[in-house]
Amino acid sequence: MSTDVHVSSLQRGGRLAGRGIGRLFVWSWVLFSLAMLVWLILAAFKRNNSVFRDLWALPDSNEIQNFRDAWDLLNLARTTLNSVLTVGGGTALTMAVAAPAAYALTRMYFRGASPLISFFALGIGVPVHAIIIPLFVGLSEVNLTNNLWGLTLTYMGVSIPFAVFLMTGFFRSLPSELEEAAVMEGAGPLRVFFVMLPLARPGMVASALIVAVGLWNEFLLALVLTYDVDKRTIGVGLLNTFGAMRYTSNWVGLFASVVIMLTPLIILYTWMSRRIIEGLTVGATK
Amino acid sequence: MASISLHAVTKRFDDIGPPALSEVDLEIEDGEFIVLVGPSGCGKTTLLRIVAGLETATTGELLIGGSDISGVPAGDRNIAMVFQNYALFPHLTVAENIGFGLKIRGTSKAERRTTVERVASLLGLSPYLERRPGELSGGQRQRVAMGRAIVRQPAAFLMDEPLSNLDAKLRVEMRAEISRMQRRLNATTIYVTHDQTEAMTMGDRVVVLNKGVVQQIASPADLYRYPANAFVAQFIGAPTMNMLVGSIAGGRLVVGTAQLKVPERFESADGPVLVGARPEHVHIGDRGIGHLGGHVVLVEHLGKEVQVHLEIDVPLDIDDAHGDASEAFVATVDPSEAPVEGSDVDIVLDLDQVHLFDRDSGLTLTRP
Repeated sequence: MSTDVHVSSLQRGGRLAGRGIGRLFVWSWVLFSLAMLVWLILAAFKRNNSVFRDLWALPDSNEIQNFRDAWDLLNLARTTLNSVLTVGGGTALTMAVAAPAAYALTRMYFRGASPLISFFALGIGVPVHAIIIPLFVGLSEVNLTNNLWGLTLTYMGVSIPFAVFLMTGFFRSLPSELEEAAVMEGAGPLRVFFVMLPLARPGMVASALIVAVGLWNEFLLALVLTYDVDKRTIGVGLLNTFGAMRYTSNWVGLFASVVIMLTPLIILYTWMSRRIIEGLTVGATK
Repeated sequence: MASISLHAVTKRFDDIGPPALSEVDLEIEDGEFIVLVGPSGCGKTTLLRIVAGLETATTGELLIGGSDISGVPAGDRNIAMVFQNYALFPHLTVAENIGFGLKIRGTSKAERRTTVERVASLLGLSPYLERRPGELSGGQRQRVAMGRAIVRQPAAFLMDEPLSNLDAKLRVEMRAEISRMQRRLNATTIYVTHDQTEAMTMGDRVVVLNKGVVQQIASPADLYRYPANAFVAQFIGAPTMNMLVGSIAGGRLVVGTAQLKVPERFESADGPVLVGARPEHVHIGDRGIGHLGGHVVLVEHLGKEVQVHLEIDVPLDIDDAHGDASEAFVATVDPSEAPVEGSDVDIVLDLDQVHLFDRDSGLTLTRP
């Protein structure tokens, strides 16, 4: 009896210690990320000659000029438009394909649905680096390199596995009675899908946001598949800023560019974080 | 409206274990209200879903209005179903929910609106037509589900425990409302419930199911008075029928130490039996005059009657639907005759009213 008590108190102690270490790690991560963000924003408003003098000092002047420089260096009007077009288009196309696919895989109960879901899950693990050369060759065969359509379609292709996998969880968690009620009323498979679609909206919003954020940050595909300046996305534009900075040492311009690129993401996360978390956890627990 | 026939319908979900439904035969007349009742897992919802077309029977035949519809998809059977949790489309308004089936069938917008408004007024839903289900009470949602079912005048209605999510008061109100509606529309209806009060009050006939097998199909009154077997006898009626282990030998009914005269209607019976006595057919008297001795463990005053829980010295047969031996022997008596808790009493069985069942098969020995 006393041994049991001893063992269980040891287990409890171990669990508590494990949880403590986990929390310490998470909070360290959060603090580090926040510190970097704050430092970046502060630095973006400083002057080039004072930025590294006192790292954590508040800016002694409000250097909006940094952002004007960044705007020009990034060719921001063009790169932002390209990013919005490719990311928006890629996300929309991804959802247009992934939502019906996830619905069919989870709600239509056909033989092979389960292996197909696993197949999509495997797709998430394929590194872009491994497929980038065949992708480039394939796209150039159909004249889709250095073309925003080509990049959009590629974005769709690389995002579908993750979106399908994520949305299978949402569709699985929906009550089957609604589907059956629609069937009883005479709805065909397509109509039933459109009945169920609004119910899966939280999951779809979360999936779309995660896909969009991932694509907004995407760099390698955009770098390889586009090469004209006016086809660059904002991520690749940042590389130009970095390149220019090497010769001009315009650090503050670079920091301002990074802030510009991050701002939409920060706004999106702050606004939609609850939805994203809900979306990620729905279907995981019941 | 139409008749519904099931011939030898069997449903297996897997190859191992007993079937969910076994050789079910059922003839439902046009306009009849049939209630399927039984304990959890007895197959009543499966049977309903087979009629709906949401499940396929492994073997057997299903006819609606005389035509075999076994292979017809659910949406083409012209049957409406009310689900346990109503299954209203949360993103559609009440009017859109009710008119959903009409829209799918291509009814014109003007006609749809007229029909929906007529049904809504029938159900008292007119003020709520533009609301969404989330803004309605449980009873209103229930009515919307009913509205969606009746709006397209289907051949039959299927209802899967439609009142189980309502509170007790609302359930009584809706029970009466559904019965009234069914009579007014003269709609062939199959209603699934595990609540025997619903079964007894609503159905023209009641089908009692247990472990996928039909136990009895009869009117509520016949089900109560002439249960076909010990399961039905104990499933129907509250408090449940008392079931004593006994035997018939040499023209005497032996229950414990008591040797009773076998009622005339059982004179041909012989061997081990179960003796069923409903609580209202058990009388309590002073020591020395009764058939059996008992000890009063609990007296429950319900107002117009008193339920007396007794411990008796005769083995009881307790079925798996009512498993608690401590509540196994109950007498319902007039408040003026209520015994004192803890006292020893004599128990008199009303032999004209007792039921006898074969102890092996459980089948009744009573002839109506």
